Amino acid sequence: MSDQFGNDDQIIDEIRRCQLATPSAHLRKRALNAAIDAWATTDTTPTVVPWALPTLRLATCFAVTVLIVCFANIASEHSVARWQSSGQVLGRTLSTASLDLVSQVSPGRPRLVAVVPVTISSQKILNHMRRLSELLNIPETSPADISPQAPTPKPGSTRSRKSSRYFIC
Amino acid sequence: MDEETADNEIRARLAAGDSSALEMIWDLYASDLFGYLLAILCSRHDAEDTLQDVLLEIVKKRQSVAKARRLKPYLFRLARNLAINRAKRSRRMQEQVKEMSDWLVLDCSEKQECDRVQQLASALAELPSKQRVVIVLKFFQNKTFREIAATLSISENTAGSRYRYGMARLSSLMRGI
Repeated sequence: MSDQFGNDDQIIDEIRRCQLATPSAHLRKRALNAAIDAWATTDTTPTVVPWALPTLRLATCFAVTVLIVCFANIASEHSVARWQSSGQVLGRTLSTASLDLVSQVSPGRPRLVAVVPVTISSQKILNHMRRLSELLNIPETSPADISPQAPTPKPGSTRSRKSSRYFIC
Repeated sequence: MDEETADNEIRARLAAGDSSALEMIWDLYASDLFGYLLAILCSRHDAEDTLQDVLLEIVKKRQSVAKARRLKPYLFRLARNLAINRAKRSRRMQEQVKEMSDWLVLDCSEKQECDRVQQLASALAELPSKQRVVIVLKFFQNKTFREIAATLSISENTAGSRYRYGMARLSSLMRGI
């Protein structure tokens, strides 16, 4: 090997002055005796049949997959339970709520448009809204009262959505 | 008897349940395996124990050994795994690297010369195990890179690069001493 890194030749020369230790005759005797003793006692018949290992791996993978899917289902059911309906219908609105109604409300006139399906939670909200409207002295209007030909607002009187007082549930 | 014929004979004896295969393995490979174990463990005592473990492992896995396509790399891999396990178990590698002395036999007459060779042996022991193994096999067992590659189941280029990096590291270590 060329002297690529400077003093390699000197190092090689010094390495060659060393020798590796060799296995002693005592070690040979000791190791062979131990091995021959083990030979007599060791059972070499395979404890696992050749196809057992892949089959076991496959079964383990399948079991783990089933477990993961089960856990995912449980976690999903647990996390979205509060947003799921109970399935029990307590009431229905008489008229279909339409967003078109909202656009027909005069922006200059404060109104309360309640187009809320009557369930327990929405009923509570509606009650709150009524109380709030009473407090603020805002006239309540049902969707049926809103005329389809509501007067169009004058361009100058248009108010921003922020300032208008609508209560749309 | 060339190596392949000897390997076939060993395989046949192992398959037939003849324990004399162990003596054949010892006579053929014990010296190389011992050198290899010394290079990994840097301790004569540990290398001796590990070599004995290798023989016991061969006894345990004699059916697999009998089916091995190439016996020598198989035995070296077996020895390497056992040596690494022993090193992990004993956690003495770092201490041994510093205090090593018994795995190399120093051939020197004057004290100054002996000190220098001892320093070299210490620096050699501080090399990463993979680089040290290649250097040991190259110099102490006079193997070519092709033979080292075949023995360690690595490519010739890998063996060569490990040797070069090892020598570079050895040079820097020797300059630092």
